[in-house]
Formats: sequence, structure tokens, C-alpha cells
Amino acid sequence: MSSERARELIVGGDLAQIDGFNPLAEVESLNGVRVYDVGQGDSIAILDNRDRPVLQIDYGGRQDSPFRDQSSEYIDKCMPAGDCRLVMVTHWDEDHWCSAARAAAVRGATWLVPRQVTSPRAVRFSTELTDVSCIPESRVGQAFCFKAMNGDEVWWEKIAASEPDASKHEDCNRTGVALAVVKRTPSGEGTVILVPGDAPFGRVRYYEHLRAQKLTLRGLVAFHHGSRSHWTEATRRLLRTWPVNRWDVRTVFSCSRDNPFRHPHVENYEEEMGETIEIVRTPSCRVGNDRYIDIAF
Amino acid sequence: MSDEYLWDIYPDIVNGREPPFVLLIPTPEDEDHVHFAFVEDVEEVEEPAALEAPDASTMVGKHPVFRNQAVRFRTSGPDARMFLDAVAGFDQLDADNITDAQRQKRRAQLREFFKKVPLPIIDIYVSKFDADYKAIKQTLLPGSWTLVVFRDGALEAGLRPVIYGAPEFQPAERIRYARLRSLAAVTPPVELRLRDIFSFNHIRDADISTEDDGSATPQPKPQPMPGLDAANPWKQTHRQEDYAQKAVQYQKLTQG
Repeated sequence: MSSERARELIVGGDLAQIDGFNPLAEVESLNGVRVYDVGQGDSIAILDNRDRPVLQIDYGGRQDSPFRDQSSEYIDKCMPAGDCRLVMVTHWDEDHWCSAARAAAVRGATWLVPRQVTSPRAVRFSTELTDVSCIPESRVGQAFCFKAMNGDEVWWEKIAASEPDASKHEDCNRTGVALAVVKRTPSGEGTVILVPGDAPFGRVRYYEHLRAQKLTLRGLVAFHHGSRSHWTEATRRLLRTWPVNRWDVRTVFSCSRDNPFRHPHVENYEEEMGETIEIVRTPSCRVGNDRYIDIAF
Repeated sequence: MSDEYLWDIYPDIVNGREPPFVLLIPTPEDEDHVHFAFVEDVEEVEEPAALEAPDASTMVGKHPVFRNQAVRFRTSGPDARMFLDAVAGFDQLDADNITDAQRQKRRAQLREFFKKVPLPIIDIYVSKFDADYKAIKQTLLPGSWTLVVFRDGALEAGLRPVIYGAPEFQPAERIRYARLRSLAAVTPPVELRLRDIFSFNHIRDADISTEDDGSATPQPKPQPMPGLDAANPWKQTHRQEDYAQKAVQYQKLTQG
């Protein structure tokens, strides 16, 4: 009886291959996550053991983008996603893909995207991609896992069905893809970095399973650039109860310095996580050559 | 503005019936811009001194609407006439049964269409204190298509401001100012085509294969939403049929 109960808690994602390949198959191990300064929007890379981007999540940035008047070569150089085995889009709001419309190398990569009701501008961009496929809607709500050679994991899930009916309200933030990067020790312990896109943490079902496995929260990228919309009790509870090390949860807000929505609302995170978090905003790194913030394991 | 054009987008006007306008106006005039607009995002403006312009630059909102709890309805879409002129060139696809050849053809057709037809971002700002705010909010739901009529001009008090443009336009076209003239429901036949053409029907589904390494137990599969095919939630057969039926009924009604 007790073993059955224990098994219920150990819920894992299906080990996945996309069109016959695992994008982490030749990756020795994972070092963490890199959040680029793109202004208002997201562009995030998962790094291998030599800090090379191996999986790109979104490639956006609109307001106050540092790439506004720059060449495609410059964007390629600043956000080198051309060698990534896979580019994933969390959802189709323009601030999550628009830098790719002006870059070159990233458009030649393999893209895995959610099938959503979206703007004609996003559809136009998608026609410029040569190797792109959609996450089947039949896989909605199912957590998948890519594994590196040492067992480090990248989890992802398309969290809800898209809603093509015009009479129904679709907020594509809440029908997108949410990810997590996990490093486990041989003893079964581990740490996790959450990358939810614009989806509130409480919407991502497998996050609860990761929390229940007592993985220590090493860092997170605040959802929706630090918005206070959709700040639900489920999200509060998840952050409040996740095991952490004091002062050790690097919390990155990917947004522009000025924006009409007064992002980020860091007070929500401070309220739930208190002194455990280290708050970092992407505009703070717009000096020097390294315009990104790393969350390392 | 020709009757033929009006027939396509406003058949009710041609038939002397009251059109499905949210904001009633006289018949659109030549200087009006008439666009089919997809609503990407609806969000309250908290900092009018840092508006995000359509070209992604930052601008200061000086119109009185920004002192009265403005809400930004971010939309984008093609000129209605240009879309209607091109729509016959697109084969209608059955989302559940698309061949590779059809996908390739659709992608090629879209690329040709997008070469000719600009897609401005059209930001519509409305105060929460506007008498029509609730009706506008119910019309401009995220994920919906609406017919938007606006006219160039300075942002004057008492008029609902529209700021439109796009970063890829010529510099003088990247930010332009206008006032909202009307919003109207898109007719079912047109909506059917908008939703088919501006979709990811040209993209195949990924082949996601899985292997169980023995350490995991399967997650519970989600319950399909009402009206969805459990085996293929994207299918939504009855909704497609609904749209097709509505389109036929609408044609009969308007022609009768």
C-alpha cells in the first residue's frame, strides 16, 4: 500500500524524441540557463557543460530591444542559436519570436512550436522557417523530457489546448509551452530551474510533481516578464512551498527598463519567497559585452 | 466605395438591414482604413509615459485617454479589400486531413500574399470610463477577428486613438496616428477563411515518440474539452461544421 502511494508521487515525463532525435543526445551535461537582454520579451538558452547554447527557448524582444537598428549578423552573434539542435517557442506573442524575423542563423534551425490561434504576423514569420513542426494537440497536458548523457533533464509540456472558437476567449499565454531544467545527483537529490514562458507557475501541472520530488529550486525566469496578471493562489502556493536554499534562488525578470505595464512586479515574488531570492532584471546587464544573465546550477 | 466591396464585408448594409456594428457609423468612406484585425493582446496601460509604439520604440502617451485608465487592444491584420481580392486564390483546407503537397502549396501561397500585403500592428486605446468600453471589450476578445475602421488624423480629445504601423515599414510609416471610426463583427464566411488562411495549417505536426525508461509512471491524460475529439483535440469537427453551416445560412439570409 505504502509503495503504491510512493509510486504515485514519482511521476515523470516521457523521454521524448522529436522526429527521431533527442536534441540533448550528444550533450554531456547541462550547466544552466542563459537569459538574454532583449528588452521587453524573452530569449533564453539552455547551456551545456561548456556554456554553449544547446537548446533555444523563444527568440524575441520588442520594446527597448538592443537589436533595434542592428544587422542580422550582430543578432546572430549576440544570441548564437544557429548551432542549437532545437528552437522551441513557448507561445506566439510577438515579443517571444520577433528578433528571429531579423536574425539569420536561428531561422535555419529546427523549430518546435505550439499550434495556437495567433496573429497573421506570427503566421507570416512561420512561413520563413524551413524546418518547423507543431506540437500535436493530442499531446497537450503531457510532460516530456529530453535527457543529456549524464541524465540532466529538460522537461516541457504544452499546458492547454488551443481554442480556435471565436466565441471563446483564448489567452495564448495559457495555452503555451512551459519548461524546466533539472540536474540530479546520484543520491536522487537535485536542483531545478523553471522557465514557464508567459504561463503562471500554477498552470503547469508537472511543476507540482517536480516540487513533490523535493528538488531544490535554484532559479526561475519570472512568468510574463514579471506581470501581476494571473497571480493566483496556485502560483503563490507553489513558490511558497518549493524547497529552497536561503539567498540562493536566482529570479530573473526579462523585460524592458520602461514599459507601459510597469513590469516587473517583483513584490509578488518577494512576498511569497522572502529572503530566499536574488532578484535580477535583464536591463541591468546592458553594459559591457555580455548582455545576458546566467542561472547556473 | 463600391457595392461589390460592401457586399463582401457588409452584406447587411446592401440589404438595408442594420449591420452588426459595435460602434455605429455611416458607411465607410474612401479615406477610411478598413482592416480585418486579429486581437493579440488586451492589457491596461499603467505607465503612459512608456507606451510601446507599433514599431517597438517607446513613446509618451499624451492623449487624454491615457489619464483615464486606458486599455490597449493590440491587433494586427490586412486591409480588408486586399484580403478579399486574394482569398479566392487560397484552397480551403480541412484541418484534419491535409497532405504534404497541400501544406507546401499553402506555404507558397502565404509567402506570395505576404509579399504584397502589409500587416500593420493596430493599437486601439479605449478608456475604461468610455461609455462603450464594455461593448468594445466584448468585441475585441483576445484570439478573435474583428473589422476595424479607422481614419488618419491627429489624436484629438474626445476621439478614440489608434496608433498603427510596424517596425518593418518605411520610416515614415512606422508610427501613424488615427482615430477609431467603427468596429464590426466579421461575417461567418469571411471568418471561416481568415481562420483557415491565417493559421498553422501549413505546418505539419511533429512526430513525438516516447520511451519509458522505467522510472516514470504515466501522467494522467487530460480530459478533452467539451466538443473536442478525444483522439485529436485539434480536430473540433463540429465547430468546423458549425462555421460552414453558419456561412451557408448567412449567404441564404443575406441573399433573401
